[in-house]
Amino acid sequence: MEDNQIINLFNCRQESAIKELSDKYGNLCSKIAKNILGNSCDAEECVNDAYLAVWNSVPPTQPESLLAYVCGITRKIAIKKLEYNIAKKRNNYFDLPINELDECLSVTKEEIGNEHIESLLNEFLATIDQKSRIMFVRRYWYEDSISDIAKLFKLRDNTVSVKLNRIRSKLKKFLEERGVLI
Amino acid sequence: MINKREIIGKIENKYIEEAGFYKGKSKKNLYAVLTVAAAIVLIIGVLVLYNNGLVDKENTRDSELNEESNDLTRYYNYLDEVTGDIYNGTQIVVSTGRITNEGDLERFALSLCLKGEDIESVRFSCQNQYITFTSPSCGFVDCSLERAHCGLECGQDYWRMNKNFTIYYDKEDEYSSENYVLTWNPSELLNLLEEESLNIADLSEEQRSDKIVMEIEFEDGTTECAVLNIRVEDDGQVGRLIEKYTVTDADEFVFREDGKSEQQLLEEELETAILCQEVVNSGSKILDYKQLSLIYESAMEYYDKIGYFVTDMTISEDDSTSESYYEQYDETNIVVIVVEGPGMDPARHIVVGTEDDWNTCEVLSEGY
Repeated sequence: MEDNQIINLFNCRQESAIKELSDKYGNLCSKIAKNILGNSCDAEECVNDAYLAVWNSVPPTQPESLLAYVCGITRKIAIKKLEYNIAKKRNNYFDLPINELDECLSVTKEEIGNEHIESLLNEFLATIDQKSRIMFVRRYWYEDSISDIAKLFKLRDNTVSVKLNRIRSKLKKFLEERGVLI
Repeated sequence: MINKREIIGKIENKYIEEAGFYKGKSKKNLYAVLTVAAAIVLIIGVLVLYNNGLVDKENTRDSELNEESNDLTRYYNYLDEVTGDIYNGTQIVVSTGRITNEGDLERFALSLCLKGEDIESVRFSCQNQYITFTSPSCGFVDCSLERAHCGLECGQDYWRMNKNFTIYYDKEDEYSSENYVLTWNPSELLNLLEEESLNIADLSEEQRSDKIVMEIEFEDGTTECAVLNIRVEDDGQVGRLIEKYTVTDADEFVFREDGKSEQQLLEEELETAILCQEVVNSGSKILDYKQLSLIYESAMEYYDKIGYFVTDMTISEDDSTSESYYEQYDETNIVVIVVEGPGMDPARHIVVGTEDDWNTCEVLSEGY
């Protein structure tokens, strides 16, 4: 079913909207949640919460991209759950992918806000080739493992690591040139 | 305090969609197969209607075609005007975009599909700019104008950006072999526009023109040669003309050696960097390049297996501990290598030894 048809079902308050949403993007949402949380049980709970959040927000919200919308909500809920689990020491799963960005995102000038860096990040993504961009987004937005990305691109794990390393170096240079990094 | 996750969370929807919809080769699905089948049927239909299409016809619909659109029908209308049938059953389909005076691409510059069941190999030679090759090995099909590549995607094992290379059609993969795609990358031309602030009209004929020669070899041993002449017009439109071609001695660019795949280049770059450093730092040991290569390969194979990514290897000056531990080895047939990479803090050490004067070697131990 097309995204706009699913959104119409939400607009008409048809419960089948949830099923259609789940059929189309359920696997992807589950994967994102599992990538972040590291266990299927919490991940399923997050995905269900995300469906509920979509049900409560559409309408009035009319997302331009249903994939980005539902996956974005899932990601936010999963991150909150992870923070909760870490705070309660219920989870020692370490958020490795995001920490790889320390070298290029951590040491920023104090006066520079997140908004500026967000805009530069999108600008940077527009400058790199499609394959690198997909790799970057799969690793740091979807938080896919190196092995999963390697399988997706039919590459060796080592090659993916090298490529990501290069993309991060490019990002660092990009931000340095724009005076964001110290 | 900067919140990395919050920043990453603001990546634009279009990039999230792009990555989310991206499918690997194993994800061949019915939709993809049917879409390819439909595309092939349409292309063949178009070829029948335009069987004299070797020479690019005057494009009367350029103004309409310059508009961004996802209209599939219009896309194929577009293709039919630039299709060349150069051999029985072999078709070349070219799709072009536009270059701005600022050095930006609108959609893409030029993309070319070469389809033929009987093709054994094709050698591409690009005179002035660069060419990139992709195969649709992931089975992902997107016929929208915005995505270029004639609706075909990826193929990392084959990805190259070079001036000359040969593609061997994969007979085992009927899905890919019929739909290889070549993209023209006018990076030098774009640099002139972007960095030297020139306009397209300021460029010389050589700077704005290019040739891609395609030497096609068929399964039965026969050959065919075609050329795609490219010229960027003053308004940025990329013009093209396909015709049969005979390579002469004057075509020096055809006789250049083939370039290497991205994968090959990447691996060689890492290996060379590591080996050069090892040669410099190999201390009192007398090891030649061949021996160092052997040690390097053993160590890399080991780390490959256990899933570590290696960024640096240096032969340690201090290997006395290992020598005393492995009594059967003396200082000339054992090396300790300091290995660095993500997750290796402190650096790891790997001990490699030989019992036949470095004709073969083995990893003796590994750890911090």
